[in-house]
Amino acid sequence: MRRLAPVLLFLAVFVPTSLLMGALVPWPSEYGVRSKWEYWQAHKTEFDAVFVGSSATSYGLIPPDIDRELAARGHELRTFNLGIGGMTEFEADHMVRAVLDEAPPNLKYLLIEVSGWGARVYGGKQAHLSPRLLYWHTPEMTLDALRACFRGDRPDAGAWYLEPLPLLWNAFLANFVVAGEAGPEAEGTAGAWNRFLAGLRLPVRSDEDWRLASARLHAELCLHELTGKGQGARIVSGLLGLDAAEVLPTAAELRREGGYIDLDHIEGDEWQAWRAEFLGDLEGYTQRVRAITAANEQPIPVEGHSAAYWFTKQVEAARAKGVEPIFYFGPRTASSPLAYRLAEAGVLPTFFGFNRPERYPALYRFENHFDENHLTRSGAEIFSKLLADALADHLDAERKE
Amino acid sequence: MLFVELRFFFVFAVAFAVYWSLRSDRWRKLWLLAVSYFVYGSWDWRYLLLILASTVLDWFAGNGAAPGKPHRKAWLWASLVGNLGMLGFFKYYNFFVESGSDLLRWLGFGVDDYTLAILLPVGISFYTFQTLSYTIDIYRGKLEPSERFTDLALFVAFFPQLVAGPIVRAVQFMPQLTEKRTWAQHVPVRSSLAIFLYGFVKKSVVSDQFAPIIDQVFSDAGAHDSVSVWIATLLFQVQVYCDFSGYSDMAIGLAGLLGYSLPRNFLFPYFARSFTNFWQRWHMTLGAWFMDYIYFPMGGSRGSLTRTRVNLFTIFLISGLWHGAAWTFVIFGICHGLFAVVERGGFKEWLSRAPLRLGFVYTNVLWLHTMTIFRADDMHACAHLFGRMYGFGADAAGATLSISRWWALAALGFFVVHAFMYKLEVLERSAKVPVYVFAALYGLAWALVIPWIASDYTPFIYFQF
Repeated sequence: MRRLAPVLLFLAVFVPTSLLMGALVPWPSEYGVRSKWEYWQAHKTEFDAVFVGSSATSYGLIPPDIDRELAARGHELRTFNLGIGGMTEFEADHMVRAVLDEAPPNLKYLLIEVSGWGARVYGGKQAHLSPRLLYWHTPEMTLDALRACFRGDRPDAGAWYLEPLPLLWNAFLANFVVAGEAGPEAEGTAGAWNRFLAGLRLPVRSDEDWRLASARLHAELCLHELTGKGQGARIVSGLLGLDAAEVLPTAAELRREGGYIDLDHIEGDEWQAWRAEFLGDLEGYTQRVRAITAANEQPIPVEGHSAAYWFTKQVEAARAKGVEPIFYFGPRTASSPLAYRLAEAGVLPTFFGFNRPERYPALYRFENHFDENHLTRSGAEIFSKLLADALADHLDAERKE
Repeated sequence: MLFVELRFFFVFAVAFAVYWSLRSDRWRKLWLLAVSYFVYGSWDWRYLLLILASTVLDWFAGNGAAPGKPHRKAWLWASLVGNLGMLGFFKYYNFFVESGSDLLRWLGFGVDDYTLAILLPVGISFYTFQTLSYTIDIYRGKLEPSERFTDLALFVAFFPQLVAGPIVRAVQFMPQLTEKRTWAQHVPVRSSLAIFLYGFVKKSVVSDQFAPIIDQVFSDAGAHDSVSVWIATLLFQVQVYCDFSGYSDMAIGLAGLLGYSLPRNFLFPYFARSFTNFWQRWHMTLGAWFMDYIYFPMGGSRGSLTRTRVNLFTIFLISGLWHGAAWTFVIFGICHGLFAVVERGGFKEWLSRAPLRLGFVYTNVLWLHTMTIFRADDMHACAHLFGRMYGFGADAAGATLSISRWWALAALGFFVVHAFMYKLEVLERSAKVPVYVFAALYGLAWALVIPWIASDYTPFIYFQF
């Protein structure tokens, strides 16, 4: 025990200090994550309902319009848009939990954009280590992400296939001395020998199962999040109030628009490129829109489906706080048969599907779209009105009950 | 697998725990050998074939070259030809073929290139010099041949210092393998942990943090303004020191925790007042190797001043080439050979007494310039860099990008901290700190260091050598 005492002392100092460092890391200043969150935190008692979701929410729902529509239908609610561009499923879940953790007594509704609960991490290494991917990797969220990794379908990677027999000499030729003339295409004895070796094949496994790679990354990100690894500059600037303010949205815009971001006035080459790409392929867009309705009807067995587990958990968490969860899917060109089947099975207690061109044709007119999955201001006004109507219908039905 | 990666910490923790839980020294060494091959093979399993070939060669050569054995000179030559042959083929074949072809073409002969896409094994220059030292020391009668092949294999492949030094000579390491390591006698815990952390900070916090800025400028000097190129060269001076000495420090710390002592490789070189003094503080084990195995056999400083200067110049020329197969390294070696030649014969002594720290300025300014040559991708890029720094050459106009002046301040900040460490002998004093105070401070230091680790790892610069 005496030998272990210095080790224990080391841990007793290291662990809490490290956790403190991790706790001091501010939320990321990207796409409005931090400014929206801080604004909501500061004014949370003013809002009765919050929208959480991806860019389809952030650039598609205008809370003042929704509030006005609801008021016209006799429901006095104030809503706030906490949608963030590029928000992934687990990041959105983290936002949901953060809202619920701080839920003021007047918060009645949590409107959550439906997602696919994929735990696969895409993008290069820089994307992996971005503050945006880091901040939601709390131990609890990481455990969920790990569960999701291994609840996912087994990918094709890992299948057996045949590849050339890795004989030592072949490996030497191929790996140490790859002269142009030594390959199988070469003439003469060397080429013949290499063609012979290449013809011999052994069964081997293909590349790594993505689930292991993603799980490893989630675990690593959790450690980074806990200890604040690589976040020193952000910690110091956060403590000293030196971090650069986000360009968008400003506090005045948040007050005026309730968290909605107007794409008609967005700047940046990336956005303009996406818009140009959309306008250049309207025919393709029309075809994809036509395919949505049939795709939404696909039968998907929901019994035991991994998504059912996450949604159930989300619903229970909200209800435990006295908040009613309402799910929706925006007017994107993606179909969402799973969401419809989950709603039919009662996993999603309330679900509004707006990816139904046959029912909401105005939402799919290209003049209302900034690009394939995002709306212009005019489109957002239509979407907000339709969502307010759906919500009002739901509230009316609740009243009757 | 880099020492600064999380997975290495796990591997080392397992290696350490199993190592000290084994009672038999023989099993401990076998375990260390297995871990060493695993760590080295994690770079690329093919590297293992070469290191094994080198070990087998010197096992036989060492036994054959012992005093009293017949044909022992032939065995020495077999080791020299075999090891240097492998090094020459894998590291220098393309360089000499390309250079020879260029020369023949320049002379008017029509020749084709016969270059090969050869894999350059990580750290081949380091372990080749170690294996050579084994056979040479036996030949000289300074060392007995190892009784066990696995001991020799462990000496060659010992993972803490395998890929980037310190270059440990057989006479320094082999005796440690014959004496059982004990925790109480052979493990300087506090100094090993302190030097490991110090090396980790140098590599992971300083070097990796500077790397993207330096790479950006050195990859396209023409696109940057003059001040940015100057800042990048200053940063590189800091980076290369932190990167290389950081690895050495971590290697010494890790080996210390396993009960083995490795020689010090750096002694605050940027405080040197001459290049003669600088090379006694920078990559000290390479300098010592060259002295023992090349410089002294050539006559050292026993002959005339001219002969001594020729010997010194030769050593630095070879040292330049040792770093890499490129003309930039050759020019780097020639420059330092010339500095050594000039300093020999009174200038060095004058520099050490010169007022206003002139020796310090002279050494650091010239080092910065030679390191610019060292870092440049090729001679063409080198000309671009100097053209941008001094405003000459065709590319003098057109710079658009500039890097933040804060980086220059960061580099200067490093020098201040470094001076502080140097003057207060922080590392030396760490071993005397009471154990509980040390444990608490160590925990605090790691917790405060982790947030400053660069978000991405970069390979150690000297791995390519």
